[in-house]
Amino acid sequence: MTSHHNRRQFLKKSGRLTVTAAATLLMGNGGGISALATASSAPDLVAVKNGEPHALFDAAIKAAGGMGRYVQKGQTVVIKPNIGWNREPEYAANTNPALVQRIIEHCVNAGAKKIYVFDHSVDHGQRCYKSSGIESAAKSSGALMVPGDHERYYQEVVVPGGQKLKKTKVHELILESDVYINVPVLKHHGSSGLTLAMKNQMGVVWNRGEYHWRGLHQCIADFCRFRKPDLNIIDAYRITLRNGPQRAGADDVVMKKTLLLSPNIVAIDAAAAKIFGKDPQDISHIYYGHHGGIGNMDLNGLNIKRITLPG
Amino acid sequence: MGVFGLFILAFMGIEWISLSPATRFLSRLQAIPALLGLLSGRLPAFFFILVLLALTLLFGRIYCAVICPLGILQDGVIFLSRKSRRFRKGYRKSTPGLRYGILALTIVSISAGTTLLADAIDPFGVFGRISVHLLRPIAIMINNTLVFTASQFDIYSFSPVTARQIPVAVFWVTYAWFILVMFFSFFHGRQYCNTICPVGSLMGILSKFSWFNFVLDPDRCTQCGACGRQCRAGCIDVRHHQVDHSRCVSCFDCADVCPESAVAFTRAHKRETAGDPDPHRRRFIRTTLATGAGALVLGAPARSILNGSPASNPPAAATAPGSLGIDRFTNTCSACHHCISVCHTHVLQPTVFEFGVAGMFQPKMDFSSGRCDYTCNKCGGVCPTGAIQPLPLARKQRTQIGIVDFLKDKCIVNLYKRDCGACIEVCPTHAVYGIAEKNIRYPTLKKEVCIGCGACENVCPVMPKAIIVKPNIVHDVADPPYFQDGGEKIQVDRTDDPFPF
Repeated sequence: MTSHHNRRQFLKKSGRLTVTAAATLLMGNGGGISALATASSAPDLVAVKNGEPHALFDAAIKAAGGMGRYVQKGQTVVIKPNIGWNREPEYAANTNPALVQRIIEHCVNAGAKKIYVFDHSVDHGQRCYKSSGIESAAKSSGALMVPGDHERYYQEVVVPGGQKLKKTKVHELILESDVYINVPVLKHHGSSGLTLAMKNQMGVVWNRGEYHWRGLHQCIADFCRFRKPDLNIIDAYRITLRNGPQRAGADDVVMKKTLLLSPNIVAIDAAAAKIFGKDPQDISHIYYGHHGGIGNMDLNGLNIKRITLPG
Repeated sequence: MGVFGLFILAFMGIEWISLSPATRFLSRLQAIPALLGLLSGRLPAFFFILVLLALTLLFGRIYCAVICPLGILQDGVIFLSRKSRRFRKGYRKSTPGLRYGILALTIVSISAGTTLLADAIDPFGVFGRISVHLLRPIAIMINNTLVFTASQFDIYSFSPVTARQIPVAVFWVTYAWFILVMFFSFFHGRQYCNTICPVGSLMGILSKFSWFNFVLDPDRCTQCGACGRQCRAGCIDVRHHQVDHSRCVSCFDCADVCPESAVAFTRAHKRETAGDPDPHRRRFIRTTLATGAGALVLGAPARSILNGSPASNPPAAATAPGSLGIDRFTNTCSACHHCISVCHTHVLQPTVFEFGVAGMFQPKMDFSSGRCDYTCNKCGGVCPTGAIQPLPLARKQRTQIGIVDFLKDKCIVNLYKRDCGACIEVCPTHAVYGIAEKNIRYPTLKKEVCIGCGACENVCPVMPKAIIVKPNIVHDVADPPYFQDGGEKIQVDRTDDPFPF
């Protein structure tokens, strides 16, 4: 009786175990399959060259699986270009307005409820918004241009695990929007070597001066511990090779007709540094970002989609 | 009213109104600014002085009625005062001693080389400072409240404005003058204009000779006293059928209220009894001539005492591009603060003693507050005196108001061997640029291209600053912007390069 009972119990137990094990295996497998599927359809990094800004972006976002992968219907989106300087588009001190416009159009098509565009400009905000061409591009394509030059838009946040930047004030749109798209322009920068996606995030905080005295590169890397953009798009259509970031000479800006796209902020910066002709390790904030576990600057292990348009 | 509204909006710092041709014309037509402009040798000021002389000699003090914004402001107060029945009616005796004394003192002080007194009592300057320091903060507060309320509803069509703290002395002096003018006008009509204002006094003298004036017709006048009660200057002596033309501000109230049409605006001095010179006027002319001559002799020493910074020493702060240099600037500026209101970077701030007693309240370049925007030349555009001359942008971008100095031992990059470069980033001419050494960019100077805009000093994150602008005594011309590796051609089209990863 007892043995019988024991055997039944044993069978019951082992049966349950088998089911659980099978289920675990199946689910695990399933997860593995879907992860593989994602990897094959959505690359870690997309690089496109040889086209106009809108064509570059069309190709890049298509290769990344479409804007619908990042923006769901009814979501709010904040787009943060570089609008730091009171300069016209041909000087490439700011993000290309045609690119910003195309990104907005894709967000609209993906069903975004509201699309906001802003920067905490270095020069006078309104003048930068105007001369960069981004204000008119944004307004004409259905986005809202939001001021970034008043402290009341900024709220204090704690940077978890920040080494030098422990607290900072962040623009409320970054805190409130569902999707955050970071759109820097690739430029030489006299203070930091290069300005890229990680550095562009200096324009969502109020007190930039703090970065400079606490340690520029470490603070740039630290901020990513508070918030990483959902998507980074680097504009390398025109690039400033020397005397950046604001008033380079006529010979310093060249056509590169390239665009990078990645959700990985360190990887995209590493790729952009290479396009500029620099070793990513030499840009200290990329180095800190990589070793701080924020992202990956080693491009060898990544799934990169390279596209050359017919022109 | 139109003039008043225009100036109110202009002093709120609304760019397109401040720089509109109407504002530019009307602010240059202001008496003290035009006079100071003329004394500094501005040719357009000569034209405006001629216009003012012609207007006054034709129509009396019509200037005080329709051109002077402080006069119009007082008329508004007088209107309220009448509504509340506090207005003191009737003829008032004039106070020629005080009145011409202040005028004489103003003229003497200007010839002695200080615009201090003129700046303090100039009606345009008083109006400007009241608008910029008392009304504008309220306007900014209302604007920002609306902007931030609208932003709650996702409306971002308007931009907030950041206000700056001004020196307390500037606020209190402005406030005191505001109260003074309000008090005078509420209880005594145009008393400020007829006691303190040097423009009112000077034009009062001229008015006596003007072609048209108000005259009471003794044959028609029933001595009902309506005109005398209405007169905001209290200058109609009904009993003797006399109008004190030196105090009349040509407001036409008397003509409007007279039930018998006994008040006429007509060729007046024909009717005046000939050979009745005003003893006060004579005394004024005598005093002025004497003190003027004295001022010419004593001018130089007085100037050196009054001006805190004689031309041999650099001033404590730089002056705006277009002002040519500290001495010329302090001798020409009327401290109306219009430039301060349009300066969007807030680099222009009122001084207290930085330019000496003589230059009190005149605007300085305050690099702790802001920096001179490389792409802006608004201050020269709005200046009514020409103290800040309008500069085309290309010329402004080469105008050197000071020269950068680098204090290496305070600089973060040099102290801690790590990137900062705040100064490098903002320098518009690359007068401070980075030289990389072991992958750290060290600020390096190219002084001859520095224009002294103060961007570097403004953003330098250490205290005390590691990079500062030393003001020029006389403004200079900087070399064109400097470009590292300039001249080395880069292949224009690099789109054929393969992806480097």
